[in-house]
Amino acid sequence: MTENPQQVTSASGPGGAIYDIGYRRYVGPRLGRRFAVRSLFAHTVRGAFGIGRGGRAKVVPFGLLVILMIPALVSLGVGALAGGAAEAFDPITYQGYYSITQAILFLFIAAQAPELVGPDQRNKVLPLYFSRPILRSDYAFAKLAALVAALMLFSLAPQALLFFGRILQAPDVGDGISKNLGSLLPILATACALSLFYAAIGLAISAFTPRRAYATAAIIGLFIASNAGVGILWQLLRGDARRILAFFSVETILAGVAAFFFDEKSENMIVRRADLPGWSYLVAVAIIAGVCIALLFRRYHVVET
Amino acid sequence: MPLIAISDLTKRFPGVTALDSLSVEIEPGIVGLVGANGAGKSTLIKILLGLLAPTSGEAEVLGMDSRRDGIRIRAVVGYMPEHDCLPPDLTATDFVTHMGRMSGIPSDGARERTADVLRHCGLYEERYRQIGTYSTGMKQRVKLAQALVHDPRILFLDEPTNGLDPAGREEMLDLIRRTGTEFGITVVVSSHLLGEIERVCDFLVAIDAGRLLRAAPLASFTQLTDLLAIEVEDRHDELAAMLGSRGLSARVDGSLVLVRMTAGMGDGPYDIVRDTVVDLDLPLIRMEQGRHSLEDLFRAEENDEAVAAGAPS
Repeated sequence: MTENPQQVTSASGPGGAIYDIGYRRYVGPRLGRRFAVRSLFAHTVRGAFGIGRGGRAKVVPFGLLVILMIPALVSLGVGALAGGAAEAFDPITYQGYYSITQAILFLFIAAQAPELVGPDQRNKVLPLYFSRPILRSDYAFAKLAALVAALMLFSLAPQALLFFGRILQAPDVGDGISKNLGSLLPILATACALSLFYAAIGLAISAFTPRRAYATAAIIGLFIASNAGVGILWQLLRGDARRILAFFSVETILAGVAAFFFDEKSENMIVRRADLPGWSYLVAVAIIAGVCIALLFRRYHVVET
Repeated sequence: MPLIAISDLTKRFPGVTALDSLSVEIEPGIVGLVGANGAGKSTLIKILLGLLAPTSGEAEVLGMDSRRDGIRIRAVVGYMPEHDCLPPDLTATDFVTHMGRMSGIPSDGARERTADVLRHCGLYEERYRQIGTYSTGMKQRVKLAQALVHDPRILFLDEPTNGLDPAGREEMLDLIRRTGTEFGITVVVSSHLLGEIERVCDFLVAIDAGRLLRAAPLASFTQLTDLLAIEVEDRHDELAAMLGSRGLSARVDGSLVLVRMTAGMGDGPYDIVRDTVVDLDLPLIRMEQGRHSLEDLFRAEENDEAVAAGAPS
């Protein structure tokens, strides 16, 4: 360590020279707020997959990803063995896949959303973030965008596998493309809606309950209570009034959105029987996600540091 | 132009005034911000970072308005909070690099800077270990490193020696001194312990209950702080007068008689006090030098000025 930053000392030896150049000023570029927000986004996406947080943190996300891919692999495997003959009997549709995705991503949200925002509050890292060239709302935005992106990756991975697998398995690739291409936009649109919906709910709950266990319990509770509650009430009630129940469970809302985008009959019994206009589910997603996002931003606007 | 210009700054929270028309200018160097707990030090730092809006008044940092230019200010200043603020499951290297990027430094630069500042802060092989395994002293070093990673022009340190053992305090103070002198970064360091802060600062800003008590070079503080307190049971006035007649500047303060000590007097004053007490046949209860708390300093400060004014010598 030199006393003077300008002074350069050297120790020459057979291995070369070691220079102590003292404190060096940083003269490179300072990229400011946009870069900072992008960095937080990337850091959070990595965190959602447990990357950079040790081996154990990767078990849940990657385990769920593998489970999520299994139906697609089985479907393609059967298709490969049976040739074109199996296509007619393949129970897996793009729309139907989202009911599997939805159930598994719910576990992902319950496990990972608290992990993305809880520790920063628990360990009081927020003051360090807020002393950077970003706004409090930038922090909330980066976290939300990162979780949406992670969920998009999760929802699209099996769909992409199925999509390209089916095209390649078709006797004629051109034919395969024309058969499957129509599903591309619905696949993307449903993934967007699902990801935004889950991310907004998961983060809003997690941001208010920094204790991981509480947040996970609250998310699981909300999903199970809404799904089971609507299922039970559907059986108990009769008449037109019960149709509105379809807006009150995570499962039916997302099933309704998927059916709307794919422009098909829903695979969900309640959604099919309720027979509500498809766009109304999209409105439900927009309202619920909007309220959750507003709560999330509000939380970071006022949270004490 | 001063690095930090604060004029008439007031911050009120519901039920409490944290800062009360505070005005002070801060020039480059190592600046101590002293005051008792709750004096408004942390509030002042948060306003300067643009994280809190003042109720009234202005604060400029590097010529930028703290209300409007918070983002630009935070790009070029560093902040080390008082409390724990580190994620236990990341390594120091990963965390400080991440914080460098959060300050707008591109990834390559952030990695390079991280290696530099961790080394400067005295973290070597440990930096690849998770922060959760660190001692308090090592965590303080990481906290300092994250505040330095973007090569700030001003560094705000909020009670950096809190929770450290004496050796750790010594090392932290040494680091602060080096940051200010070698690195050429202006350091504003807050503390409620004057004895500690006066070892590293060259300028002192003292606040109490949100008001500025005094802002002056450290030298002018210490000149006035050497007071000898003599506690006797009664006849204080007589003692003070007799000490005065024997060449000491003394005044009565409650049950104490305070004598101003000047450098170069040696043991002389003690002998005079002893002889005077004997001559007056007074029961001497205690004789004490130095102050251990900030409150004492401020009180003595006022008293000393009174001594200086009342007893020219």
